Amino acid sequence: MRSVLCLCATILGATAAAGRAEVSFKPHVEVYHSVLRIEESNEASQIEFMNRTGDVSYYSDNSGAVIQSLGGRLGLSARFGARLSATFTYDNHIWHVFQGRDMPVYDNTEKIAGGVHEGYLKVALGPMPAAPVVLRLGYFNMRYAPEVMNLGEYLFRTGVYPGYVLSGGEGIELLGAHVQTTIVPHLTQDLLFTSEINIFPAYDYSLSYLARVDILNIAEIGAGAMLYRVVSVREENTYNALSYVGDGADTTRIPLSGNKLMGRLVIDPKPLFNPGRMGPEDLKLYCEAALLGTKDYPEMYEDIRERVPVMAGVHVPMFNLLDVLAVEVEWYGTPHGCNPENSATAVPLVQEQFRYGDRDDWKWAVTATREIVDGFEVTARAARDHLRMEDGNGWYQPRELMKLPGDWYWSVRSSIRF
Amino acid sequence: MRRKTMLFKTTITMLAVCALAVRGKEYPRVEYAGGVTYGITKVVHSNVAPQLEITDDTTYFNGAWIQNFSGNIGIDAILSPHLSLHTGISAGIWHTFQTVRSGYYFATSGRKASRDIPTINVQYRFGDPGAGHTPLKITAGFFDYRYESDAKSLGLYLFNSEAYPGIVYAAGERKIFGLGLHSDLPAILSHDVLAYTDPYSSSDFDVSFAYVACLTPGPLFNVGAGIALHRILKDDPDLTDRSTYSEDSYSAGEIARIDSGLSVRDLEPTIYYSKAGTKVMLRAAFDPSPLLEQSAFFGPSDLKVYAEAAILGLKDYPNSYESPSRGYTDILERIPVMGGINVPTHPIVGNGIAPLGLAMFLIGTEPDSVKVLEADTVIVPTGEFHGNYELFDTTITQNTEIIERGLRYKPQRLVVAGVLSAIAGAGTFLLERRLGRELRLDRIAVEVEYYGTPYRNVLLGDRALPVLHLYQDRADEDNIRWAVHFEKSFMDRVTFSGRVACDHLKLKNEYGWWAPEEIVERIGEWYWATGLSVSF
Repeated sequence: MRSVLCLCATILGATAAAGRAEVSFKPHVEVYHSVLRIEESNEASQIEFMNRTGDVSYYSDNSGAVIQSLGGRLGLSARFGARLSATFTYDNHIWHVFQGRDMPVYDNTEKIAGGVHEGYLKVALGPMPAAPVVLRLGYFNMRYAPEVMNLGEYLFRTGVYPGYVLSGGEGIELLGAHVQTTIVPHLTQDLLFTSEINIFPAYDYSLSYLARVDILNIAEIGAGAMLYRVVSVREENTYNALSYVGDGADTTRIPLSGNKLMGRLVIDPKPLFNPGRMGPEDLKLYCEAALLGTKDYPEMYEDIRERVPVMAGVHVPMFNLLDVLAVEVEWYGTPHGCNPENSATAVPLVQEQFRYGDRDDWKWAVTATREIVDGFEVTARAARDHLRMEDGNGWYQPRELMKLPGDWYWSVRSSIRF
Repeated sequence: MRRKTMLFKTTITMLAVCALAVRGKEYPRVEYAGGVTYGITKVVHSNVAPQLEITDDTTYFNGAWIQNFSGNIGIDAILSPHLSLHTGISAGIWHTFQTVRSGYYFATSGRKASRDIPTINVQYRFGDPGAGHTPLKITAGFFDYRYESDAKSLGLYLFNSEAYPGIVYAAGERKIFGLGLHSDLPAILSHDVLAYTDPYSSSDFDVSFAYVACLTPGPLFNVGAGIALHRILKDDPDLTDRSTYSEDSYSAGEIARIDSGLSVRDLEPTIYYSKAGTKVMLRAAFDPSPLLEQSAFFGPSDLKVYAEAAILGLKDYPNSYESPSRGYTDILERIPVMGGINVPTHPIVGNGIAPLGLAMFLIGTEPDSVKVLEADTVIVPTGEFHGNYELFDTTITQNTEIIERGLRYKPQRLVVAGVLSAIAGAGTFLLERRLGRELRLDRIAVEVEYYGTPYRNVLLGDRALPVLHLYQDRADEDNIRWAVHFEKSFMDRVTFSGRVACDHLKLKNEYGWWAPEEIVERIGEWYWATGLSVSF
């Protein structure tokens, strides 16, 4: 209690000091373009339309589909003295859904999506300039494994019951509070209290703790736990009646809440020898595993091994020709669909189990990135990951498009920041 | 949608213009601002059901939890002492009302992104900028306009209302899209003339004119009045004056009905209600702060009293021919009245007595619970009509148990509220004395409204005819609204605010627009809301 009071007093003190400090503003702008081509996909996109016979159908073939996006971000950062800053960044971009011959005009045409990209207050506490405690409040990007280029970072990029997985290279945006401390040398700890904003039911709160130890700059060991939806804002949604399994008196209700665990390891052997012309990211080896729901439930979630995604990756030495060339692979043996689409219930779609079996367990990704000149960065990727199309609201359409062996896509994203 | 796109393009253009101005110079110069806001709303009691198509069950707003997060960037280009441009963008994350049933439909229940233009306007100020008064200031574009700065939840009727039907919106919900002229001359009398369109409804290019005057004879008291010629210039008279519903009409001979055996319709022409009308407003405020400056007990905004009344449509209309229980025959039913007072923020009052009074009020008005022990469904015609459709009582609950709530139910709640209030009030008071700093709230406002319309405060579709209550004999139950608002700022950057209210709160539907239903309507129905905002 005393430490909490001290923390509050320090925050208030920092805020008070900020009130007196002069404000300095820094606008920032980013323009980006991305193109993505699906070379092979056996999965239909989530576009329902009435075909010529009047039946509801799906656009049935994504192979060869090309998606482009062009957008910009406008941000403003304000610094009040040395300890307090605030940032808000607005994103707006043009995008399309997959283009199909028989699709309605309103699906084929240009779409404009925009919204908040980030917006948070940041407070630095403790001796400056390297403050040992940093607090972020608001909507912020979270990355605990910066070496990950696509697959992994499971603690925040997954769900439980059903255990879906996301992928991508930009981390994830969270809404809530984040305290990070480096008070203990070589140990970084993160405590987060975040609100669910992406998956039904919205607003439930989760509590997460992460720690990572740096060992002689050669290895990093990390672990984390998340009490997902530990605070339900409306229990009739979180523990709803649609999630019963079993018959008669022998029924079990599966909540949409659960606990997640994560462990990860990074090895950077370069300090053990003379790396020569190697880049700082070259030769990093890393892996991560997570448990998406610690509790078993009958019928649907009886085998804990089916709730454990595992990934491994390596940064191939490129000797500064590229900043990073990452090869990553993942195995996730869930028998269910990896989609959060039936999100009002913890009972996964049964037909997904029969449709794919274990043929969709493996994912892979090769990602290359290079900052060509200061502020101008290009990232290219070939992958069979958890690709989902955006939904225009800052989140994704639920169904992933890369399912079977042989499915893959490539993409190129370029961005200029100034 | 086209206009919104146009507004966005205009905003981006203005941002570019602002960016061209050079920083560091006095003129032209650019000034930045921004902010981030996080808010939570919890509906504690409500009998209102959302507009979902539910066939076998009804989920009420009762217990709903709503969050929102938003941020904004504002850029002002000060081009000269007289000319300035103001613009900005805002964006946020929001959701529709979350229910298990809507959870089936990802597009309905999923995350939504908002983007908006909080303001975009150009201002030209005549006269000496250093002078205390402005002979004339012209504002054109999309801008905030408030003629009563203290109103938080209720009031500001002249611009936050419709005429026919006489719908009242939450105070400050609506901005002006048009042209405003403001003058402070003579010194004790300010004038505002506004010409504006309504960007919030279907007949959105109708033009309205308004004049608002405020007389301030001294620092203690001011009185104001205004008139709005609502939708006087019609973009499409068919949209404004002629509904597509035949119910929205009356016969010219309705008042002097001819007993000829023929219906009035056969004898007299049909006249449709028009959404256009004349609204008038009268307000007053008393601010005793100059008298209380020497007192350590009172804060700078304490005990300010403000009140407002309006007539939402001066003209009477006969009742509808096809729906004879609806019309505009009594001007008294078109007059909302509100009053507000800033409660003293001294810790003993603001943190002690006021919360205790609020707790007693909420417990005292708590609706009784009905526990259904055994239910049966019987359809019984009521003899009442909603348009052409007869109303039915569809459910007769049998063998129910009424659990009386209120002050006599769990009276220990009052004791707990009293103890907590005493601890909060005395604790804050003692802490202030110990630290030598003011920890009290900046403002506590209590507002009450009476609006005796017999109809629901709901605008359904493009109609000039009001909406009946499901049970019209209970129409008076929504006449009184109330709100308690409080706020505390920390060093001009961080503001914590809260509200407990039964006011005109609405939620957004899946299309991003305000759903027509109010979340709370009657005494005993209420919600609380709290928010934290950072401005920079």
